[in-house]
Amino acid sequence: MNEHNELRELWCSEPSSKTTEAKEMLEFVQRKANHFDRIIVVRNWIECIAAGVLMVVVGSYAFRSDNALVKAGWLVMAASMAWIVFYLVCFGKGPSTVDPSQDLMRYANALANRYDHQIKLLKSVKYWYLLPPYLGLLLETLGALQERARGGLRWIDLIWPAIYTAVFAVVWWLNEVYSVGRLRKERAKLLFMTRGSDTSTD
Amino acid sequence: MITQAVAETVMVAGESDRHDIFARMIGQFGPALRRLAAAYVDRQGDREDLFQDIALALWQAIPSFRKESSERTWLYRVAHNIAISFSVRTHRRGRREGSLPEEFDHPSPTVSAEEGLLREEKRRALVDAIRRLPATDRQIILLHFEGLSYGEIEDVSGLSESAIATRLTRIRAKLKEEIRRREVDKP
Repeated sequence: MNEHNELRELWCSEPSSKTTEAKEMLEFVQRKANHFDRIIVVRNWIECIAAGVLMVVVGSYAFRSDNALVKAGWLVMAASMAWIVFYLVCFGKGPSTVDPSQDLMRYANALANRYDHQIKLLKSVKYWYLLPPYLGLLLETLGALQERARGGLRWIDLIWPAIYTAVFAVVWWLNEVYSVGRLRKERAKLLFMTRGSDTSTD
Repeated sequence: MITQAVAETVMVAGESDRHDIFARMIGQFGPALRRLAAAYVDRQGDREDLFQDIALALWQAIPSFRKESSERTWLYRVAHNIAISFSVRTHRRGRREGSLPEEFDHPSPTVSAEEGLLREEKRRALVDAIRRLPATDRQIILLHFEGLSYGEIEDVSGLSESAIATRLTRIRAKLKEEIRRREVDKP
């Protein structure tokens, strides 16, 4: 037997202890496919309901408030929540999948493009997802501080804006630093694996 | 009677067809897909996850399978692509060196213990060497080992037959060299 055939025989000789039951796998994939769909639907519903409830609550605050700045702040918040609900209803189907039945180079290119798209989307989150509600909260805080300033401001009045600023900063960091960094690493690894080179994205 | 040409353009019709195709694919190619998973990830748990991901991708892709290529080349395209995106996402690959030993199966009881161990050692060296290859080379050699013709490998990888032949010569030499070196280095 020549060395070439020996390699092939060696490769195919794995005495696998795992048997592949087609029926078992069929049940598994059906369950898993349904599970993914359900997860996305449930997640979207939870986010929609939360945003909807928040929209009603801050809308009622806006309605009841006499201070123009506070009213404007709550209205901006309510509009932001309405935008989130609209976005989830219209585009909240999760990331599109890349057709895996293409040849390797086409698949790798499509995957790299999807990474680029996700990175771009995550980098824009601050403008369309974070900034509007943050501006709304800032306006509301300015209005509230304006009212309280008549009786003298205390440092404790700044705790609430500090807390929500920190929360927004963490969300921003998770999206733009952590997630984008992770996606960039994966993209670079993909290109290294398939082309043997690292092409960074911006 | 439906001719072969017409049959090849017929799309997967219904849910029962989908079930049949999937069951046949897993039954026929299950062992090959498990070997493929072993060439991309080292740990048993990751291999099983990858095998399941491939099965899921096949299940989801069957409705769009237009039989423009053979079932076998289509299946390998899906499997290799899913394996690549899986290993890109798996951040645990760095544990290869110094990680827990691979859970390789015990050699067959029909061969002598020493022979079996030697063979298993050699096979392990081969799998390790394949895992170190760039993705395209890995895909080519695995498809070749699984018995695909140059034409079929071209269909899966998108490379020309001549490029495949050249690469195969180089890859085989590299693999043999790796196995030999590991045998020499063995204490």
